Amino acid sequence: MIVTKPADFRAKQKEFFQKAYEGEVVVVSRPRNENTVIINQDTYNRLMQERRIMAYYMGLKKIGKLGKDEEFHMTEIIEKIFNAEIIPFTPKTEKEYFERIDKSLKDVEEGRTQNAKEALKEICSEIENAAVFG
Amino acid sequence: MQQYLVKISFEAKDQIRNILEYLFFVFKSKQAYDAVKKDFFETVDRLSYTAGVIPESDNEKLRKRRLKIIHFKSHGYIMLFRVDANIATIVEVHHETENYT
Repeated sequence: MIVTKPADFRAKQKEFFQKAYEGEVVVVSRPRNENTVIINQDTYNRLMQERRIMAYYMGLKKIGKLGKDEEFHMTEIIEKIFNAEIIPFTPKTEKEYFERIDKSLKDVEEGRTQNAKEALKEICSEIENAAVFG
Repeated sequence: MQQYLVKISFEAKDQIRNILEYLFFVFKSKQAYDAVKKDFFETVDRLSYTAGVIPESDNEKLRKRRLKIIHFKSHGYIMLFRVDANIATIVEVHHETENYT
């Protein structure tokens, strides 16, 4: 981790961005503890993924869906998080996000839509059949 | 109360497939898969009678596209949808932690 002051950061911005890109965590220390942390996009994506996985776990726990026999231990959860691949289908930027939305809206305009429940049933059936025969 | 026919774009269908496949095959949790699947179905049901009364998004880019947001009950996912007459079409599904706007 590199800690730098705003003035130093401004003076060597390119260098700090390169270090963050290479995996270093850059903390820009500001008055009143209003610090800013710079990380690269892979690290950001990984953090978001970890957060999502934890949200699944906490959500299931909250609604009592974790049976005693099936309850995850935190070590297993952490192992799953660190072994998991970055979710490939996640848009990485706002631009990619809106491109995906616009592609979807084009589907709507051109009639490439389906009854939502039928689509869900179809997907679940494919997944569950693949699990049986896989 | 007006009822809406809920449809989904092929693109959004792929997004749901990716999420469920991820839970089932990568995250390897049948429990998480079942819980999110149930939530998807329930959200589609809820959308069929609330689509018209949900306000448009505060986000300008979403509002420009006439998109509204519905939150899943339990798992932090959201759907973006558009209403045309009595049809609500889901165009995007993602987790709320993926906040791009």
